Amino acid sequence: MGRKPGVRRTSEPAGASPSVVEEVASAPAAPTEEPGPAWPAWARRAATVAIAVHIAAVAGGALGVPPSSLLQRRFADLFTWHHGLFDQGYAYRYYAEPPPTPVVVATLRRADGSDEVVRIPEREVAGPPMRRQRQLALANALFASTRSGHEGHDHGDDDGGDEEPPWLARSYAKYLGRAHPGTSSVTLKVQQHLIPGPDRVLEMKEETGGRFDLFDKSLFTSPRWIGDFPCDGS
Amino acid sequence: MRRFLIDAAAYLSGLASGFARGWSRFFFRPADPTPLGLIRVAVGLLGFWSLFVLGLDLHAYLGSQGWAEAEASYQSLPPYAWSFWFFVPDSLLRAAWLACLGVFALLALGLFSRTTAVLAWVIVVSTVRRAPVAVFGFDQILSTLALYLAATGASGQAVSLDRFLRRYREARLRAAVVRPQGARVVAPAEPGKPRPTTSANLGLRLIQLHLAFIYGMAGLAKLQGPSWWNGMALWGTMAAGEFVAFDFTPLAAWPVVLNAMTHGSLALEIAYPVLIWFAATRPLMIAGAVLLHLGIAVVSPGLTEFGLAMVAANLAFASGTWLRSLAAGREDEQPALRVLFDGACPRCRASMALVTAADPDRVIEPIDLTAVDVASIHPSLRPEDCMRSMHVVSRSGRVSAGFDAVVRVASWLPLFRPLALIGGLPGVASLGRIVYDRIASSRPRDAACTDDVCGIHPPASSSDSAPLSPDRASPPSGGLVRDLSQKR
Repeated sequence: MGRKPGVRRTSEPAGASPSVVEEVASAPAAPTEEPGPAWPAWARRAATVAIAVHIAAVAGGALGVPPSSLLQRRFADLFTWHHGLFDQGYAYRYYAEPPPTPVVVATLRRADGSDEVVRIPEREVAGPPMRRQRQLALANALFASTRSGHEGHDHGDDDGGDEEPPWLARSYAKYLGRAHPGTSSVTLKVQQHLIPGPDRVLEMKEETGGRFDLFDKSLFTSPRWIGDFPCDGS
Repeated sequence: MRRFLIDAAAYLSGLASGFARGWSRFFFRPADPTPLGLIRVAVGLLGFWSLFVLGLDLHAYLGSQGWAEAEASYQSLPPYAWSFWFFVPDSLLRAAWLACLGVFALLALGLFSRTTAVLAWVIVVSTVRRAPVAVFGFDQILSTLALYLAATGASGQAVSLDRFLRRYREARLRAAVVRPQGARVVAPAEPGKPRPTTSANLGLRLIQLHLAFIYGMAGLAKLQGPSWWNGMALWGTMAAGEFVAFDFTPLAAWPVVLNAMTHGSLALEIAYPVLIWFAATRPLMIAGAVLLHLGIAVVSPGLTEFGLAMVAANLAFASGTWLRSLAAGREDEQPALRVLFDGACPRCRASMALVTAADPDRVIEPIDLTAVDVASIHPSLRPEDCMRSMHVVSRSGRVSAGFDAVVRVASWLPLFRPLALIGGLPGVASLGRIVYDRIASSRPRDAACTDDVCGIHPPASSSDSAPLSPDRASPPSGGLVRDLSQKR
């Protein structure tokens, strides 16, 4: 694949200083010193088999997620063992269409009747930005785990229906109950933080004199109920 | 028909054998391990940082009763998946976390690289499996890079303490050899430039292929999205309130700019898997990828680590020679420094062994002043001055002595550059000169001083001198290194 490594370099005089472009451009496999011993044939054959299986598994994992054909899914299924063992088989379909951001809102009820609202992701998270990115991932996971159960219902509805909440929502609610002593129950809801269109932003800026609040209430969908979870140790 | 079949068979046979040759050349040709060493450093640092951030909410992520309870999480594991975190009791969680941080630190330093690379991969995968609810793109890339570092075992072949210590031990052994009639050799036999290996090439090739695949998949998937066609996709990320750190809404008035950025990003991802393999376009692709990921990090600081991991992976396409030249200068500019040391002083020899072991290429040329006419190195040098303290002569002819020479040498060696920065501070420099002069004046020597030019004892003849190592035997530029017998 690509030009033969080292071809350019052999024509260079010793001690010459090739340009940065040539240096970067030279194939990385270009030998610079006396190379180490070559691998024996059996090792090359074993490595070839391993590489071929690995490449097929990585490709299968990426192709097998929806939307995909039956053939692609069957092919991906051949490498379930590989994806499990080596944590490969990701789809890498980053931002195919920038989606609204899920936000999880947990209402913690105390025995004295007071409420506390916990938002994931929090608006401000102390520490490095990566910490908030992890919270965004949790909100995404909760949203994804509840989405399938609520398909067929009115998405803007506050009433989520009778489906059993997924284990992740139950687990997260229990965690919140433990992390906030005195909580008698936790209600989880999920909403989406929408992306405003540029036209709307321009209109608002004109109306408000150049300001636009990306956290304006109108940019959030109605919260969708995930479940009520009593904090009684059950 | 028979002719058709014969020709078809010959074509297929040629195709197969050509593919086999190409495959072998692609995967099994030795390569400079420097890029892989740098990727190891990046993976170690990013793994350390990521785990440190997880540690701020350790029990929430990895505790048995965290966000995702251990039991339920274990039940939902995909087939064949595993994680050691399921077996770590809550009481030992902090200790295990600290041990894992230690592994990443060792990996970044390149100490016990083969072992720590495998352990680092185990930690990355275990953490992803234990807390899948907190995983995002960064974890996928880190897991991939860690897998290849672990599988090929080549990440410590360059830019590592493993290699430095091995070369230092070798240099010390060589420096201990008594050569009564010649210069002391204080450099390791193994050159500063690491030897190309097949295992390093395998690691780099797998990273290259995987990276091309990632960009390709990301680009193809975007072709499904209307906003990538109408040129407003990047607006979707820049106006996502949960992601952005700055106000990008003024860009709403500049749709053409948004269009250009959107189409440019997509074009890069589509073109990368193809153009990265051509020498002429490779730098453009790498530069584009770096710009793309830095841009993402500016828009969404939470994705900074993801961008850094992708930039680190792109190092797999960079030339080891070029990367090394960033630290050591170009090959035709070496040696940058000629260091005159007292070959009859064990402490000086050990120091020079340390210096030469840290040399990334041929930056430093150590010269035993007891075996040369120092005036031949630089006309201003006098033997008695050189005996008093270490002298360094740069290519431009600038001479430094004593502590300033130490700082100058350290500034050329990536491993010791932090010390050079500290040593260059005004107060530290003054103190350093005093300490250096005291140590130098009281240093032990193998031979007692007998005359004004202490310790300079020319060999009886050049023919019976102990041989120098091949890389030090001949002066690299101009033949300035001469012993006194040659002078006479």
